[in-house]
Amino acid sequence: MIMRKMISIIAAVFMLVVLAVPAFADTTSKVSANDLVIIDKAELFSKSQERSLQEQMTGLCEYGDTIVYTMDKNATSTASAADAMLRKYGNDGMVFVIDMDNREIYLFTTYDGLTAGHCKSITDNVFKYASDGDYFTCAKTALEQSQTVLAGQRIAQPMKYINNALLAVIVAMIINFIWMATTSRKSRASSYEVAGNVKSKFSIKNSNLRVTGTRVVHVDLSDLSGGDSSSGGGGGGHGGGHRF
Amino acid sequence: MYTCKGCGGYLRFDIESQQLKCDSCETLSPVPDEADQNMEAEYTAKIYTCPSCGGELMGDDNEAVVFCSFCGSSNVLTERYEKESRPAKIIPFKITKDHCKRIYADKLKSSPFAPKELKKPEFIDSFRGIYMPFYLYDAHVNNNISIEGEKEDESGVKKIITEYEFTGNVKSSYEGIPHDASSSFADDISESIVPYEDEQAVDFATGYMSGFYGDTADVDKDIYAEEIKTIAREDTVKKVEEARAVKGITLKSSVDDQIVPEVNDGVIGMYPVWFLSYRNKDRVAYAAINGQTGKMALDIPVDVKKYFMFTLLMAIPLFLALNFLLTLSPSIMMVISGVFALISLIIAGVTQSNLSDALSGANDKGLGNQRQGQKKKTVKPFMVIMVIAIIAVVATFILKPVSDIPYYLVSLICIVAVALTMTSLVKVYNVISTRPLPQFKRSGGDDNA
Repeated sequence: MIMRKMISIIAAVFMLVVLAVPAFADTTSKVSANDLVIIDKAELFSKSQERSLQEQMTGLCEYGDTIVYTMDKNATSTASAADAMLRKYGNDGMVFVIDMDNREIYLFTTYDGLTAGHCKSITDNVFKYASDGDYFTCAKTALEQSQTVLAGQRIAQPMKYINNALLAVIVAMIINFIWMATTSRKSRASSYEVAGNVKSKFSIKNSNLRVTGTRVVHVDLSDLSGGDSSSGGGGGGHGGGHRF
Repeated sequence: MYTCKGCGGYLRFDIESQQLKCDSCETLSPVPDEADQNMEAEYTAKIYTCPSCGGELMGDDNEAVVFCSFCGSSNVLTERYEKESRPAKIIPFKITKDHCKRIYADKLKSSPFAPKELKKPEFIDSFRGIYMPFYLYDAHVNNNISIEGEKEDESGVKKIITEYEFTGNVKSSYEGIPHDASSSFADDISESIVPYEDEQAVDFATGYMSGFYGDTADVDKDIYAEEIKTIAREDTVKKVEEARAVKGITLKSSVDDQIVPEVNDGVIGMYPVWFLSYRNKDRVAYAAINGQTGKMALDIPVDVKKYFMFTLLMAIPLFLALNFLLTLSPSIMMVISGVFALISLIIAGVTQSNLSDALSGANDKGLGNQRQGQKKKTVKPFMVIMVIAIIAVVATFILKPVSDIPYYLVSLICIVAVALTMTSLVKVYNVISTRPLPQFKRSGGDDNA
């Protein structure tokens, strides 16, 4: 009887210990040596959405740490918060941030294959989901497109090509106009050229050069060189963001 | 007209030998000296008048003149004999027609937008050797000047600055400062092909004009007095500043307002010009090459289609480079579009100013003999659109909308405004770089042409 009571008590304690999951917002798992981290401080995702995002992030783990980070309070810029988060997990990887305080999404990475231009394009492509309140689709699509780029494929960047095409045309128009106008300009002969080719005489008579005054100026020889040179802080990494 | 003593053939002035050469037997003979005739104030010349524009040319008896150099029309010019003021000097042609054509063709190689007609050999062959009349003014300066200057010397940690006053009596004289004396010869062209080397001028003899044409002096002599004074003053000021007496001294004031030249009317000199006109509808473009030195001035109109084709060709490598180098956010794109709109606005403003001068003939005093009646053109409406686009850029930048659409919309407005303005500017440029068909106020001109 006493033994049964003790076993029940021990089992209950054991269950309590096992089931008392810490109230962290973090969901962390390791598929390889790299981390997949979802830190949902702003509570934008449901559990099922988090699991779905983890599955999405699995494909990215071969490249490095992958972090999805949401926050509702941020005293710094979104880019700084993204940089700081990535360093926390070892400096190499990518982090996608949804900053509800600054109302900005940001993709920050150390990968060479995912350039700042790609980050800007991806956030350009997905910010509208965040504007509509669909943060899960926003994050998921951002991760998908990052994976596409890292796999060597192309993502849609329609506005980039349209912008660049229009810019190229107007730059060419302006350059050609300036070229046309400058090469066809007539250069009038200067007075010296004209006067230099006719018979001329010149003289200065009764010239007098007199001293009217003298000033002495002391030269300041103090060393003007030196001064602090501040080194730039921060390690590698680049990114791009978009307000929503 | 000069004829060969041997065979009676026509004698024409040969540039390479600087003598008269017979068209038939190619015998050379020196140009007859007309020193005894130079005492006479006038000589008899054959004048050809264009029935379209009233432009006049002096020429030989030898051949009919079948096109007009000033308006480009293919008409047989009417002829008459008239007494003309005898020029005092002439500079014979030194540049042959072939050399002239090479100079012109080389220049056009670096003008990809020029109409293809300008490069055709048969067109280039229509260069005509014309002796243009130039007034040769005498100018002299006799002024007392006083200028201040200073000189610095360093001695260890000290700099010693010595102040000076320089005084003196400046005398300078100039003999034969040229300015074109014909209303047919646009000032901007004549002022661009000078100077001529005065030491190669000889006493006028009609033999030098044999085989060439001549224009007549019809502009008042005192119209260009201020230009001549400016030339004399600027040259004298430069000589004062470079004089040994003030060497090493930094002048603190200019003597510009202390040098006051006086100008005397001079004589007329006939100076060589290879002249070509290109007519396109109601506009004409001129090319002029100094027949002594080879210096050239030409109007180069634009073939609008070539301009756009060249623009598209240039845009391709630019587009590829931009794709490789840049990914612009919508806001940055909008700012860049706004900057280009601003650049286009400045270009349009400068072009509008040049256009006004070109239409009014403000820079050509000799044009007083021509009737003015140009169609009004302006780029001001496009400048207004550009200003609106720039205001939209600033407003959007301040408001910072979240959506990308306002940025792209404003960028598009800027880009369309720039494209429309540049297109209009290219057409306006053709007005600036060419001239209206001349209508000279002379007998023989067609009032209705």
